[in-house]
Parts: sequence; C-alpha cells; structure tokens
Amino acid sequence: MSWSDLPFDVRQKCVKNLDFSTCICLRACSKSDRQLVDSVPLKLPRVRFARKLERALLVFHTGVNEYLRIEYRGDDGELMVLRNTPENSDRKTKRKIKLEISPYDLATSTFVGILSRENLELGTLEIGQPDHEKDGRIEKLLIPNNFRFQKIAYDCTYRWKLDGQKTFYNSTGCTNQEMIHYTFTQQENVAMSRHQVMFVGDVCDFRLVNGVKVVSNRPVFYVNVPQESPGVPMKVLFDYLLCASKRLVPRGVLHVRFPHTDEKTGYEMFKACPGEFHQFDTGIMMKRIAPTHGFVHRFYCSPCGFYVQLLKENAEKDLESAWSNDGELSLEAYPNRLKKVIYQESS
Amino acid sequence: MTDAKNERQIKISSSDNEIILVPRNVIRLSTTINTLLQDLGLDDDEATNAEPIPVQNVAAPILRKVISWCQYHYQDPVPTDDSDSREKRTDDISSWDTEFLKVDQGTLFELILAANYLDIKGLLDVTCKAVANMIKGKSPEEIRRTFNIKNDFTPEEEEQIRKENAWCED
Repeated sequence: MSWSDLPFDVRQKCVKNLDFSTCICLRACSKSDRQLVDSVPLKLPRVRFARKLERALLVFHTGVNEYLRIEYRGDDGELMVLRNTPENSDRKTKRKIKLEISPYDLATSTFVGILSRENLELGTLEIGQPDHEKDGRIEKLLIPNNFRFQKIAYDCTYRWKLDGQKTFYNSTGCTNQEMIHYTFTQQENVAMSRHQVMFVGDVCDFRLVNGVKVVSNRPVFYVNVPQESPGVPMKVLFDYLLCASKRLVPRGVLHVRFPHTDEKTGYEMFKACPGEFHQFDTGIMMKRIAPTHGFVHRFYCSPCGFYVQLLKENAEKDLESAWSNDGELSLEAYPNRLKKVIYQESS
Repeated sequence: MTDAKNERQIKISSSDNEIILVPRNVIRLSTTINTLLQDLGLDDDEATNAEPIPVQNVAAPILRKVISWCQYHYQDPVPTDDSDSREKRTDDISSWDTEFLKVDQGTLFELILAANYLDIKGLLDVTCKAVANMIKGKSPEEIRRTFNIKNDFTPEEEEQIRKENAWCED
C-alpha cells in the first residue's frame, strides 16, 4: 500500500490539509501529483510581486499572519533565494543557486506558474515597482496569461492618473472594459489589502502628505507601511494624519491602515487621540478627534491589522450611508456593527 | 465508554473472515454500517445480528484498530461538514490519536482506506492530517523518497518546474 494506491478523493483530502508551500512541492513530484494538487482549490487572499532593478520579491499571503516570502536577488554571480514564513521570520532560509537567468526572470517563472493555475482563487494582486522603473514589465505578464483576481493594488509610489501617460491601460494595451474583468469583480473589504488603489485620483505615500494636490473630488488614499519605515513612531504618523485631515477637508475619505498592529496597540493609539468616543462593537470604534477640521476618525481592527479611516464629520450623521457610500466597506462584513453605541467624553 | 459494553453488539466480519463483535453505539460512527443496518431493517432488532455484516475491504488487524479508535471516540461531538473556509490545521491531533497513529506508513494508508470505506469522518480527518504532517516542510525530492513516488516528468517539464520552484528545491 503506497501513496499512489490511495483513491484520488482521499488524496485530495490529504492535500486540503497541506500548507501552500508543501502543495507546491508535492505538485513537483510527479504528473499525477500535479494533477492532484491542481484539483484542489488554492485560495490566496493576497499575492505581492515587487521588483527593483533586477531584484524581485514574491509574497504569498495564505491566511491571517501566514505568508511565504521569497526574495530573488543576484549576489556574486549566484542567485539568492530568501524564504521566510511567520514561523521562522527571524531566520531566513538562504539558498544559493547557480545563476542561469536573472533573479527577476526566475521570480517571473514562479509568479506566472502559480498565478496561471486554474484552481487559484486570488483576492488581491499587489504590484510594487519604483516609479522611475515603470516600464510595464509586470503588467505585460498579466494580460496574455489571463490571470484572474478580484482586485489589483499598486504600491504607494505608483501614481495613477487616467489622463497621464503611464496608466495600466496604456502599458498593457488593455481597454477600460477589459480591465473590469481583471479588477473589482467583487466588492471586497479594503482591509484585505495592505495597499489601497484608486484608478481615478492619486495614490501616494503617506510620508508625502504635504505634496498632495486636490485634483478631483474622489477619495484619496494614503498608505503607510510601518514595517518598511520602522523608524517612524506611531505618534508621528498620527501627526501626519492630523495634518492630512486639515489639508483634505474638501476631499472626503482618508484611509490609513496600520498593518501588523495588534488590537491592543491600536486601541492604545486610539485612546491617546483626543475627541469623542463612539464604539459600535468590539471591533469598530469611532472618534471625533477635533471639532475644528470637521473630520472624524473611525478605527477598527481587521484580520490584517489595525485600520484608521478619516471621514467628514457630516458623514457621521448618517453612518449607514457613510459606510455604504464609502463604496468599499461591505455592510455584510459587519452585521453587528451598530449593535451597541457608547458615547463618552475623552480626556 | 464502559456503557458501550452493556449495549447491543453488532457482528461484523473482516475481509479475512474474522468475526468481530462491536457495540452498536461504537460502530454508529461508521455511516456505511449505520446505513446498512437501517436498510436491512436490522436496526429495529434488539438482538445481535445472526449473520455478520461483511466489511469486505478491511482486514481484521486494521478493522480491530478502527474499532479501537471508535471505542475511544464514540462519545465525541459529531464533526461538522468540511468547510473550505476552515483554517488548515494539522497540529490539533490529540495526544491519544498521536499515539494511535504511531504506525508504519502502510498501516496508516490502510487505516485511511478503512475510514473512507466505512465512512468514519473523524478517523478519516485525523489520518489525512497525519499524512499531511508526514510531508509538510519537505522538498519534492524528500516527498518522493517518503512516498516512493516515481518522477515521470519529461526533461522539459522538469526544467520548467525547476525554474518555478527554485526556492523550494534542495
């Protein structure tokens, strides 16, 4: 009695218990194992593909706080693969492979190999590349391979303007109508993505808040990635947040997410913020931080981290419409959010 | 568990014709035998069935092991249906089950087949998790060695796989 003697449906059941990286390894064992692994749905909430020069980074988020990070970079004529998961995040597995193709091309092979699988159910595809290196290389991978995902998100450094020269549509040759197939096919909780993207308006680094210009009446999103700017204390980020709110009174909604911030830390930050406190349930809190600039902060914890949203004060009057008008927060995701309302004056 | 001994006994026979008596409440974990008893109208009878229920695909040593698992677990809450959204966990095997599953690979696969044939969901779950644990964290070559899998990829396919999986190779 061996593995291959087991009925296909029983082996499928075993595969359903495997983590992402073991599935990939089993798939590489034989043709029947490849067929087996491909017959089981592979759910990935997020995949990030980033590049800088010839270096590349692939992160497969497989669940809450579960990910596989692979870094491809060329060192001394050899390819270095760094692999770490939350279980061994303090210890990167380094592997040296004789360099035959560039690190970027090797990363592309992995990226295309996994994203082209028909059993893949991908939530958000994140693309990261420096502004000055935007040459559409990554985008050009997407169209011919017919990848399917619910949402695409670009790094904060990637700025979108429909009337600009370097848009997704321009670099891929894909029309607006075709893009609908690729993006936003399903409403999704914005907290699922570390980065927010707007196809109309700006996407900009949180640290560049002073450079923001009001170009449309659509919401603007700021992204802060604490683990990529570890020297910036939360308080400083909050100061920026206040600064942003003053500058953006006419703009509408401001989202800031603090990924990898646990509930306790987030709540402490929230408490430190002056203003009136409203709690809707254990996960969602709201605070009117200062009466002068007409904004309220909405705080909530999500599986991906602690989340802060700034919205205009008048939107608070009708919370139901504020949440639905926001356009990205699903009411169904928070069925109990209006269960309890507590008002308390903050010191 | 002691209550089970005083209850009605069901006679089942293994593929090698060994007859085993098992308490009705214990074998209730097997949907296959449950259905069979109900379909044959034997469930209304209080007495032990004269003709044993044939379990043709399972040999006596494995069947006894399956019954010992059922005897330990028959009072457990009924497991819920599979849910794709359920978190994949294989580190939640109880210590009793861990001891129970300290068997050679062939026996583990036989147990899986028996659990599948007898439709004992809890046993099938835990044995599949044990198999998953055997290969977790292993490279393709290590998995091949563990399960004696023959690499039947063409050189071209292998080259493509090697590029895609450079990060997880030995």
